[in-house]
Amino acid sequence: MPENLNIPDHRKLKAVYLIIVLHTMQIGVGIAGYPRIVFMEAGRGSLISLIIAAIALHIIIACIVYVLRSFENQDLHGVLTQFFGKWFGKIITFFFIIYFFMLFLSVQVNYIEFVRVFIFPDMSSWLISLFLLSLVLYAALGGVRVAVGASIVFFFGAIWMVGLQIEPMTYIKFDNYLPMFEASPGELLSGALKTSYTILGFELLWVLYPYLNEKNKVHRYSQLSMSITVSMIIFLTFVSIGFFSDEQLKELTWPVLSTIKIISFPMFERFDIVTVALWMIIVLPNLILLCWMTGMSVKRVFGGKETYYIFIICLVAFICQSFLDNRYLVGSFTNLVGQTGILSGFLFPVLMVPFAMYHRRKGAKNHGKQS
Amino acid sequence: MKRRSRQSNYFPCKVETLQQDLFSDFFNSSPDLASKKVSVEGKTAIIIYMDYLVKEEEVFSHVTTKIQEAKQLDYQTIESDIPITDIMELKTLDEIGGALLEGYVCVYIEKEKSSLVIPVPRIDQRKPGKAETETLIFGPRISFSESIDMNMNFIHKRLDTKTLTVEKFIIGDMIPTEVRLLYLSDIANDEAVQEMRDRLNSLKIDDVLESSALTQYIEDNSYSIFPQFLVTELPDRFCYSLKEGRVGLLVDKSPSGVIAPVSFLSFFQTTEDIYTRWNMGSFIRLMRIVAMFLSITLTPLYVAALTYHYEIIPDALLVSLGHSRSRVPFPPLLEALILEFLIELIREAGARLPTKVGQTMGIVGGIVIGQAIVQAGFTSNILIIIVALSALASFTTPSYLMGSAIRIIRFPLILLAGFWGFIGLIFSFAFIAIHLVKQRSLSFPYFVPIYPFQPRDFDNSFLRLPFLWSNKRAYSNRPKKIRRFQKPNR
Repeated sequence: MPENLNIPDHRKLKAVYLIIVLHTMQIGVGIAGYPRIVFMEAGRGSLISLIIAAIALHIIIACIVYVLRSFENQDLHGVLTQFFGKWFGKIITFFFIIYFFMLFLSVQVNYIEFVRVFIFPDMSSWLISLFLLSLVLYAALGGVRVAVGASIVFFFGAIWMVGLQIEPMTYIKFDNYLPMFEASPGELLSGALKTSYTILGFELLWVLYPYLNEKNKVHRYSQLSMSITVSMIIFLTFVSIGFFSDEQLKELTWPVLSTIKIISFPMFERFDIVTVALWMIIVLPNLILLCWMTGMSVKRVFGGKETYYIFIICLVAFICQSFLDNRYLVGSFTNLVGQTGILSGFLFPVLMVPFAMYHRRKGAKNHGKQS
Repeated sequence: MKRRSRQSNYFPCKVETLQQDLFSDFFNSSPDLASKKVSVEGKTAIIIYMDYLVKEEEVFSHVTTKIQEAKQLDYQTIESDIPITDIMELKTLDEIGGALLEGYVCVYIEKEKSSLVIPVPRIDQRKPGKAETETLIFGPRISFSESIDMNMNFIHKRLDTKTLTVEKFIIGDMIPTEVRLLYLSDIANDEAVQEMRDRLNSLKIDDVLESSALTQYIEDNSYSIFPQFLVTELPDRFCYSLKEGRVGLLVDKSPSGVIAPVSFLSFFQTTEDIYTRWNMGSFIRLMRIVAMFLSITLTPLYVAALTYHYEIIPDALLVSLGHSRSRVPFPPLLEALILEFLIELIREAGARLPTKVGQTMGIVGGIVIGQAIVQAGFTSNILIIIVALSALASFTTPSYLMGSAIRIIRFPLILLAGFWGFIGLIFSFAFIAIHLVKQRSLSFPYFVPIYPFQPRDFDNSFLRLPFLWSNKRAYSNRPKKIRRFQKPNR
């Protein structure tokens, strides 16, 4: 059985950072296209779908924290090996590594797609990828402190962009929300399932948990972070649905970016170009933290130095993005990641709960015997 | 001969031998080694000194005369006759030679087993003057001088507390230089003090040169463009930092003190912000940060917008921009680089030339070249405004090193913006942000209070809140006592 990860106290991070870090992990490329995706499924019941997904999200976080708190200081790999033994645990972690990498890749290719559609249609994808990955490498090589620090700095650099939605808000037509309850339960549910890609990213908690101080506050802060994410998505979806008519909304791939098209400042006629470039700051925390957590998980499975794995991950991601070079492929790949996420992000923690309960009971018994 | 001088039982010897040995062995036949023989009651003594290292009048009045008038010639009598403290007895030639170099006078009485050295050093120093690079409008203007004694005097006068601790280090193998480590023992963080002590102890170099050179030997990341230690010439600011729980260094023969650990934002603060009223202080601090941001953004933004993103420029502006750029044959990137380079040239030339010529240079550079370059169709009017504005903004940074760093960073930013538009621009911002997060100053985080996020420090970093609201020292320095004073009950 693997020992608890021993991380010295001075290298640990404050649990408060979870509020920002989990939030930046979730908000990324998914949010830009989310209103359309959910609208295609649930129509005007989108917000209801979203609320269903949000409730599920909060429950899942409770599950994850419950499982993690059955142990003193374990990450995903540690938990799995405790439950299923060394080899089986390693195999499941390996699947997670692939899943994390797929997330990493999907964020990257989606951002490349943004840039090519909005700013530089002719810019080669490998160049944008090189930009992103060099930053990711630079940050991820600094370890967890730099990864988390960069996310926090980028969060403050990007959060003001929510304010850009104020102008589109003034153009909202309330007819667009009505009739509200026309979607069938099946449509609502499939809308909720389609939400998965947008709110994925909370898996970071699995890997980051051993690095946190004040474990008793982890639950509170992660739930808070989820509610921030959810309220932001609800707000953006609300604006997009109210701003566009339903025919328009179904045709726009990235409604959130399209709402920003109408904004103009005295010095900036078209702010959407600036926004898409700035979206890099929203995407980078995703990539940096994903890269770090993938590297960390690989290290936990195979041993060795994290630095090399981070290099390898970036190199593989650089090669893989060249195969995902058209919109259709990117779309279906993102879909695939979203569906995988339903299994590995949402279903998996629930499945772990019985094991954790068993482990706790066993632990309590052992403890009783000893005393 | 050589061997003999190293021996510990060099003495007793003849006075002529001592003089000859010092002259030929130690001072390479220097013409400035002065000596005088004195005979009292049959005993012979010799007085030797380097004439430009001692105060000669004092040697004549306090040493030579006293020995000549002495009733009998032995060291006790001389020591009690001479009104100078810190007289030492030395036994080897090496020690004597070293002492002579530090401004001692050597007195040797024939047949004695040791020699007497008396300190009469001549230190020519400038009077404490006004600060030149960190000028203040409001507040104490005195600056450090080149003598460590005088600098210590400044600091002791300002920090009249028994907790001011001073540690002495001698650094440099070839040219030993005195370095003093200063901190307030009841406030400064022990880890910071220990870290600085370790770094100084493990430093093995030939020569310190200057305090800002010393910082480059002991800083955390030598490859970064950002300074990680604050070098200041204001005793006032130095003492303020010590009171905040930081650690200070003074280097002999250097007119500036070093402060660590510092954060990125410390470079945009002056003590003047504290002397003025809080609202002005806050406004000026915020303005400096905005100015720094503008200084590195404006020109790259112009280049990016004009090269790739015409559509973001509003119609009204586009007309005048197009008009002023219509005669320019270069792409915006080249245009901006030429002008930025020109501004740097004018700045550098102005700094190197004597003051009077320098002013002329400013006028020639600023007005004549600026006017001519537009008429010749090299650059557009608007770019001149932008470049001048960003140069101006970069000079608002109180620290010279940080100001220069900001001016230099602009060039890679302009290049990236010229090649890849906004993507290049945002890339470079992200890179700078990650870089700043990675930096440490004396192993303390550099980018506080943003990361590690420390909202309790905002009162005296971005802003300068009234003292009633900010009665605590910065949490990020982890001082031993966080509270400066109790809030009055009102």
